[in-house]
Amino acid sequence: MEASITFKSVAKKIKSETLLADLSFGVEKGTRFALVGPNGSGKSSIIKMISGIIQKDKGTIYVKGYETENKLNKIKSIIGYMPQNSEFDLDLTVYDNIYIYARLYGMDKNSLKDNIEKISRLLHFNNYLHSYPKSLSFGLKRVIMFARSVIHNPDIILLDEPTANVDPKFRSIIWNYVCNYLNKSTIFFTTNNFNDAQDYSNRIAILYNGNIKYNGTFENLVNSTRGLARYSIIFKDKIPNDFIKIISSNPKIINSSFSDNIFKFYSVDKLVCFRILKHALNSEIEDIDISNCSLEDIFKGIEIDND
Amino acid sequence: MIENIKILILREFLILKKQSFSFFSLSFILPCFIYIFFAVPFSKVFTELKPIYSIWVCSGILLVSVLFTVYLLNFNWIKKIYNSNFMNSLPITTIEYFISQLLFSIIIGLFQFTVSALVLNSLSVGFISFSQFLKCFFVLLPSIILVSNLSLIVNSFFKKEYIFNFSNCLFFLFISFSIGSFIPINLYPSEYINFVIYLPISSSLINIQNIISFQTIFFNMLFISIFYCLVFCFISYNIIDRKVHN
Repeated sequence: MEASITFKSVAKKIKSETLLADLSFGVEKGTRFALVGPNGSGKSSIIKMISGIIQKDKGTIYVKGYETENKLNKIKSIIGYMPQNSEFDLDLTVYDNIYIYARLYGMDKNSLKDNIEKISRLLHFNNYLHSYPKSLSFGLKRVIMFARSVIHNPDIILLDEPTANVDPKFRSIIWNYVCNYLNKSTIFFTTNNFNDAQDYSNRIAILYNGNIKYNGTFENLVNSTRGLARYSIIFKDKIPNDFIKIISSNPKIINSSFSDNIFKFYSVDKLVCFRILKHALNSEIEDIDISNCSLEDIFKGIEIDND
Repeated sequence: MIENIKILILREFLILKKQSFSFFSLSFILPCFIYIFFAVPFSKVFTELKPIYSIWVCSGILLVSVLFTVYLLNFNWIKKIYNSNFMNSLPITTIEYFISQLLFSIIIGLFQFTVSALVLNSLSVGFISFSQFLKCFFVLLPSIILVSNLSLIVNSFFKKEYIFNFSNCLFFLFISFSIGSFIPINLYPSEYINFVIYLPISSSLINIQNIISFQTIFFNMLFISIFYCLVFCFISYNIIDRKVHN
């Protein structure tokens, strides 16, 4: 498969603190690549380095075969970037905001009007084309920023937390468009929303402590946990002290937590669950819940490993 | 390249379109106010001037109104790059940013120059002919470019709004009273005159005064203006380039 984005031993310091260290990974052409990680882990910086907004300190970044060091303008012309914060020309209407930037990406002015009308219909903001951004809701602004970054059908689309703090309606509008109309583009998005990463990407990387901890499909990530599952036991009354003593000494229990009458834990061994359940049955229990591992669970696992 | 420059200029005009009423009103009011509040009272003081003060002062009014407008309209420009990740992700080169802004400043300068000339022509009948108009604008051009760059440089160093307002006031005072726009320069101390006549803006002013009073242009002064203009272009180009390439 052809690579759209390649990082080779990239390092970046911000104010003398190492943000990214010896970072290497690749994104294949046509994939929807989700980069998840805690706040401040460097997700946005990676997107900004790809789009040439900030410079790396070390290493090499290739975008569609072009090196960012010497072909930056070429790279900028084949990407579409959606920043994390609202960035509009507040004195331009929504239409003009999209029109001007699409023209700067080299779109033909004759076909642009139709394209803007089409995308505004698909993304449900056609009634706001002649409004000013200041008067729009946050969710609508995000949708318009998304439209502005994809209007020119770029080969590579970089979305920096596209649906952060966006309500479900606009969230589904954005993801529907990504899934239905941008199949030919490579989509690289960062998110803190694990459900978005799980549902809308076909490759996930987890950024932690300046480097990629996991990189693969969600199924592979789940497999790499060797059957890690989340268990919850809900007692009718307060969790008995005897029970807490017993499970505290069990090394196969991962990340256990107690709250009044609910006991939660992770484990890769189902037998552990049955043994714990056996102890729990000494008291009266109300419910039990066994769930497959989600991306959030894996991420929590990484945080535990590192703590 | 030319296409991008055209689009960037179009963007500036679309932004200006939203405030078009206030912009046109202020363009008209500025030379009127300067004439009424400076020129009319001073005309009672400087009665010995040749040509008469109300004609002589037109060069100062033209220069102040044009340069002050250019300074104000350029002030916000660098912020649009500094504060926008999105702008920096666009396939625009530094030279395109730079030229588009210079051309925008020149167009705005020409517009303000035309409005001011029309206003002054109606107030002091026939002070300027069409050929004088073209010559005046030509000698003012280096100062327009210089002020556009100066505005950009000042704004790239100072971020606070009160400093922005303060610097506007200082700039207005400087171009009004330090280079002989409204008060004849020969009334200032001779040491100061020797210094100030080589400032780029004052050399433009002296040349406009010469054109209006049918005297010859001082080309050495024009070249000094062009030299300063190039120096300021170099500095501001590097400021933009540093920002664009972070």
